[in-house]
Amino acid sequence: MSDVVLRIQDLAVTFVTGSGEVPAVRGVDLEVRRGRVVALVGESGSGKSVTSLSVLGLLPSTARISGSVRLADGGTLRDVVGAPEDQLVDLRGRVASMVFQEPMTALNPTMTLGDQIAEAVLNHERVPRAEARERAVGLLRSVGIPDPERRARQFPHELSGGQRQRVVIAIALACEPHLIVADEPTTALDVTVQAEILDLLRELVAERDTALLLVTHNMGVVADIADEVAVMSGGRVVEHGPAEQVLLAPVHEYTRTLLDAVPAVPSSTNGGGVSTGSTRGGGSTGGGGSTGGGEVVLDLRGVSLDYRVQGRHVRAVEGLDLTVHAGEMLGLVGESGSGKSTAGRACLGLLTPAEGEVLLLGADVGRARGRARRRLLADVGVVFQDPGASLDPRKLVGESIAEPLAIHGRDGRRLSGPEQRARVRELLDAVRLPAGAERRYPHEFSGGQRQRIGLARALALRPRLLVADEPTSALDVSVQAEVLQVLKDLHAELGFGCLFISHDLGVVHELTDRVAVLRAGRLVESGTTANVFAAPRERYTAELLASVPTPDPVAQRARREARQRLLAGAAPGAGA
Amino acid sequence: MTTAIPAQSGALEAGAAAPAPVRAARGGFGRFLIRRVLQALVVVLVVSVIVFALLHALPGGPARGVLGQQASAEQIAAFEAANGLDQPVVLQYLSFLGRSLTGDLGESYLLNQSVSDAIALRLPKTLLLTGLSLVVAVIIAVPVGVYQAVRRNRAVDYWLSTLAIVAYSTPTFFLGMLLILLLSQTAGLFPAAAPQGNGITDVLAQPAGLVLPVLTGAVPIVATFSRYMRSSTLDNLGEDYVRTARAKGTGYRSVVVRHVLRNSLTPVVAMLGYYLPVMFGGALVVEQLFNYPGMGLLFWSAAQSSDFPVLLGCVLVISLATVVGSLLADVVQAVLDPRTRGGLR
Amino acid sequence: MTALRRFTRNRLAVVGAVALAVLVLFAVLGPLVHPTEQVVTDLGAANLPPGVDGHPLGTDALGYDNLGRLMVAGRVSLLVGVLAGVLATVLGTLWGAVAGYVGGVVDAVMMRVVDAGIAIPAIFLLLVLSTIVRPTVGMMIVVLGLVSWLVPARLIRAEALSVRTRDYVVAARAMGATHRRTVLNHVIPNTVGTVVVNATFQVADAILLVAYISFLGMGIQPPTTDWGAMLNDGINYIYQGAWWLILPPGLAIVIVVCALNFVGDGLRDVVDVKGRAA
Repeated sequence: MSDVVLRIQDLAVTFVTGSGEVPAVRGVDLEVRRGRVVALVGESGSGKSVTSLSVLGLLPSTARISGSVRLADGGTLRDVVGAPEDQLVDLRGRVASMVFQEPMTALNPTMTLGDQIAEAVLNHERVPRAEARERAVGLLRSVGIPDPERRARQFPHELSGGQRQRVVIAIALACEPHLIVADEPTTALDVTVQAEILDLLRELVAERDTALLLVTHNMGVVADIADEVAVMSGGRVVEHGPAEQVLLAPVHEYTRTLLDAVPAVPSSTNGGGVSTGSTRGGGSTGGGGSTGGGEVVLDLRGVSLDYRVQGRHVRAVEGLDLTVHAGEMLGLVGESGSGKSTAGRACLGLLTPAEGEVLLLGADVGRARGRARRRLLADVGVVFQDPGASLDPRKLVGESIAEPLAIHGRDGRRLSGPEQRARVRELLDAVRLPAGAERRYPHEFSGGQRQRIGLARALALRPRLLVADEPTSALDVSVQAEVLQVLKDLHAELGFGCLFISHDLGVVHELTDRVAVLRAGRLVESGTTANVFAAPRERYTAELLASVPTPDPVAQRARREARQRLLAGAAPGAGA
Repeated sequence: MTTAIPAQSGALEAGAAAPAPVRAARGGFGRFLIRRVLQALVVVLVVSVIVFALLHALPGGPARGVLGQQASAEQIAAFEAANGLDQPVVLQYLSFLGRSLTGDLGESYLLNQSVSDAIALRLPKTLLLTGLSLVVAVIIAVPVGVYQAVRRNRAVDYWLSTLAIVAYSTPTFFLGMLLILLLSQTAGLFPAAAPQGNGITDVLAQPAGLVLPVLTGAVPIVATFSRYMRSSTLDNLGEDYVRTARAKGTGYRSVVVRHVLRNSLTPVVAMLGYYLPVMFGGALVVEQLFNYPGMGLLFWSAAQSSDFPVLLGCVLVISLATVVGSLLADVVQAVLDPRTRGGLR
Repeated sequence: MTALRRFTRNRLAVVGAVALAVLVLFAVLGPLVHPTEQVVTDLGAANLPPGVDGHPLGTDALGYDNLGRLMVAGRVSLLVGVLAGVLATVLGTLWGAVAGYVGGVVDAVMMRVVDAGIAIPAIFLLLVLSTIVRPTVGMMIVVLGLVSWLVPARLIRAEALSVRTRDYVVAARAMGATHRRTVLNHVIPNTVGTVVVNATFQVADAILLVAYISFLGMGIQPPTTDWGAMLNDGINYIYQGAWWLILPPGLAIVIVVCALNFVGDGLRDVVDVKGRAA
C-alpha cells in the first residue's frame, strides 16, 4: 500500500495573457508521502506558488496546464489536471486542503468563524448543522484557540493575524485530508507568531499523519519543519533531497547562492552552533563603522507619539530615548504594532511628538517650521519599504533622484542643469545602476533596482543621517543581499549615521552596530548589537531572538529546544 | 435622470461618491451612530441656512415673494414689520428655524392652505411612488449586476453594460413619453395618466395607472445600480476569502450566493442613501409627466406660479427626507457589516 | 503604449468619439448647410409631417423647420452642457482638492457643506433658482455649474486624500518640499487624469440637466431653444402622433450623453493603467 498522497509528474503551466504567453512552471516532478513535510523553496517567479495552486486546481482560466497532478483518494490516484469542476469541488477540502499566505484577508468578514469552519465539514459530509458546529468548536480547540465556544460565534476582525491563521488551519483540517498545502503560511506573521504556527503545524502533522507541502522562501522555516526540500528556480526543480542534505551540503549552485544570501542569525546562547550558511563577514560588529564617538546626529529624548483613529488618540510610542552617532548604524527592531515605523516618521519631522523632543543635529525637528525645517531636512535621507510606491510613477528616475537637489540646492546655491545631471550620474554609479537609467521610468525597473534608486535619491545631498524604514522587507533574499551590500559599502565610504528600522533580526544582526528593541511603543532593551544578541538582558528580547529560525536544521533543532525551555520559564541566557 | 454620481464603476472603486467606509473603532456601534446622527444634524442645519438664503434672494425680498408683485410699498412695509423682517439677519434666521421646527412653513398664497398641509397631503404619495420604483429597480439590478460580474467581459456583460449606459443617458421624460406612445397609445395596455386621489389608498386602488410611472422611475435606478452591483461584486470576487471558500470545496455558485452576495450588497446599500436626492428629483419629472398628485407635481406647479412659500417648504422637507434616508442607509450598512461593531477583543 | 493607442483599444470609446464629432459638426455647421428661419413663425405650416414642403423632419407647432430647429437647439444644448460641465469640474476640483489635501477640521467643514448641497435634489434647487434668476443662456450655465460642482468635489477629495498618503508624496515632504511644491509637482500631475475623466461625465450630466430644466419649462426661453425645450413643445402633440417632434431631439440627447459616457470610460482606461506603477 503506497503512502503517496501527491504525485506531480511533468507539470507545466503557461499563462496566456494579452501580451503573450508566460511560462510559469516548466516541468516539475514531485512526490509527497503521508506524515512527511516537503518544502518547496524559491524566490518570486520561481513557480512555487503556481505549483501549489495546481494541486487543488485553483489556477485561473488563463492557465494552460499539462502533465499530471495526482491526489490519493481512497486507494486510487485521481488526476487534478483536466478534471471537471464538480470533481475538483469534491476533492478540495476532503482529500487535500490549503492554507494561504495572508490571514488578514483569508476569511469572510461577515460570517462567524464557527460557520466558516462548519461549511468545510458540511461541504463533504451529510451531518446535521449542529454537529458540524460542534466539530468546528473542537477544531478551534485543537489549533490552540482558547475559549473556542465563544470564539466560534465571533467574526474574523475580532482576532489577531496569528489567531486568524490558526482558524484557516482549522478549516484545512476539518475533513481530515491526507494532504495540506500551505503557501507561505507564516510570511505575513511576526517572528514569534511564526514560531508558534510552525510548532502547531509540526504537532498536527505528527498527530494525524497528514502530509504537508509547504511553500516558502524562508530557509529558516524550511530548516525548522521540513523533512524534504525541493528548490525551484525559473519554473523547474533544481535540487531535491532530504532537508539536512540540501541545507547543509547543497549541490546546485543556485541553492548555494540562496543559502549564502540569508543573513546570519544571531547564535543562541547555549552553544547551538555558530550561524551557518552565511559567508558574509562583518557579522555582529556591523559595517565597520565606529560605535559611540562621533557627533550625535539623531537624538530622541522621552519622545511619545500619538496618532488619531476615528477621532480618538492612540499612543504609538511612549517615552522613547534613542541616539544615533555619525558613522554608526542603529537598528530599531520590533514586531508589528511596536511603533518602530511611527518613530521613524517622527525622526523625519512628519509627526510632532506629543511629549519629548526629536533633535536632528541638535535642532528640534518636530517643532521647526518653514525654512528652518526645510534646511534641517536637507541633512536627512529616507528610504521607504515599498520600492514601487516611493517613486513618483510620472517622473523619470533622473528627476526623482535630483529632486532633493532641486529643493535645496547645494552649499546654499542652486545647481545648474549639467551639475545636477552630473551628480545624478555619480549617484547612479554609487548604487551600481547602469548609465542611462536616469532617462527611464520607475516601472521599467525591478524591485531591487527601484530600492537602489531610492537610496541614490536619499544620498543626493550627502546627508548626515539616513533613515531606512524596512528597506528590504519587500525584496527577495538574493536581491536583499545586493541592496544591503550597496548600503553597507556606501555607509563605510560616506560615514553617515543610519537609523535602520526592521523586523528582520538576521539583517539587523549583520548590518548594525547598535540595536534598540521596541515592544508596544516602549523601549525594551538597547546596546551594541553583539551584546544584545549574544546575551539579551530582557526576556522579550530573548524570546524574539529564539524565535528566529536558522537555515541549519541541526542547529535549528537545538534552537527550538532552547526556545521551548525559555517559554517554559527558564531565565534568559541560562544554559541547559 | 441625471445622477449625482457617475454611473461608472470607477466611482465605486474610488469609493469616491460614497462616504468613507463605515468603520467604527472600539466603542463600536453606539459611538458610530452618535457621530452619524450629529453629522446629519449639521447637514440639516446647513440646508436650512441655504433655504433661508434663497428666501432672501427672492426678487423684491421675501415680502414681495409672499405678497406678490402687485403689493404696494405700504403693504410691504407692514408685512415686514409684522413678520420681523426689519430685524437683524441672524435673528430672522433663528425665528425661521424656530418656525420650521414647529411645522409652520408659511401659507401658500395660491392654494389657499398652509404649506405644511399641502406637503403632508402629497408627500406620502411621492414616497409611495419612489418606494415602488426603488423596490422594482433593486429586484432587477441586483441579480443583473451579479450576473454581469460572474460573466465578466463576455458578450452578455458588454451588452448589458451598454444597455445600462443607454438607459442612463435617456432623459426620464423621454423614456416616459416613449412608454406612453408604445404601451398606452399604440397598445392601450396602461393608462397614460396616473391615478388621482387624496390618500395612498386611493392611489393604490388603481394599480394599472401606477405601472407606467413606476417603470419610468425604475429604469434609471436599474441602470445605475446594476453597474454599482457589478463593480462591487467584481471587487469581492477578487478577494482572498473567495479563494479560501473554494479551497474548502464550496462550489462556485454557492460561493457567490453565500459569501460574495452579502459582502457586495453592503456598500451598495450605503450608495442608495446617496442616491436618494437623485431619485426624488426623478420623481418630480415622472409626476409632472404622468400628472401624479405627489409632492413633485406640487413643487412644479409652485415653480410655474412663483408660489415661494410652497417652493421653499418643499425644498426643506425633501432635503430632510434625503438626509434621513441616507442616515438610515448608513445604519443598515453598519448593521450588515459586523466590522462596525468594534475591534479586537 | 501611448495614450492614444490605449484609448483606441476601447471600441465603444472610439464609436463615442466619432458620434460626438458628428453631432457637434451637425449642430455647429448644420445651419450653414441647411439654413432655415428660426425666429419668425409661420403658423400656416404648423405640424407638417416629415417630407412635406421640403422639410426633411417636418415642422413644429409654430411652423419652424424641425431639422433646422434641431441643429440650432443642438448648439445651445451642447454649449450650455460643455461650459456648465467644465465650470462644475473646475469649482469642484478646487474645493475637493483643498479639502482632501489639507484634511482635518477644514476638510470636515467643507465636506458638510457639500453634503448639504447634495441633500437638496438638483432639480428642485434648479427650479427655485430659475424662478429667481432670469434664464438667459449665460445664467443657465452659471446656475447649472453651481448646482453640479458638488459631486466632483467629493470625487476629487477622495482622490486627493489617496494621493496625499502615497509614499512618493510623503517622501517629497520628508525631503523638505514645501506644500506648494508637493502639490504642483506630485499631487496635481497624478490627479489630472481623474479630473479629465470626471469632466467628461460632468458634461454628460450637464447636458441631461439642461434638457430636464427646459422640459420643465423653466429653462431657455423662446425663441432660443434647446433639445429639452423642443421635447417640452412637442409633448402636447404626442397624442396626435406627431412623433417627429419627439424622437429627433430625444434621440439626439441620448446619443450625445451616451457618446460622452463611452468616451469617459475610454479615458478612464487610459488614465488608470498609466497611474499604476506597473
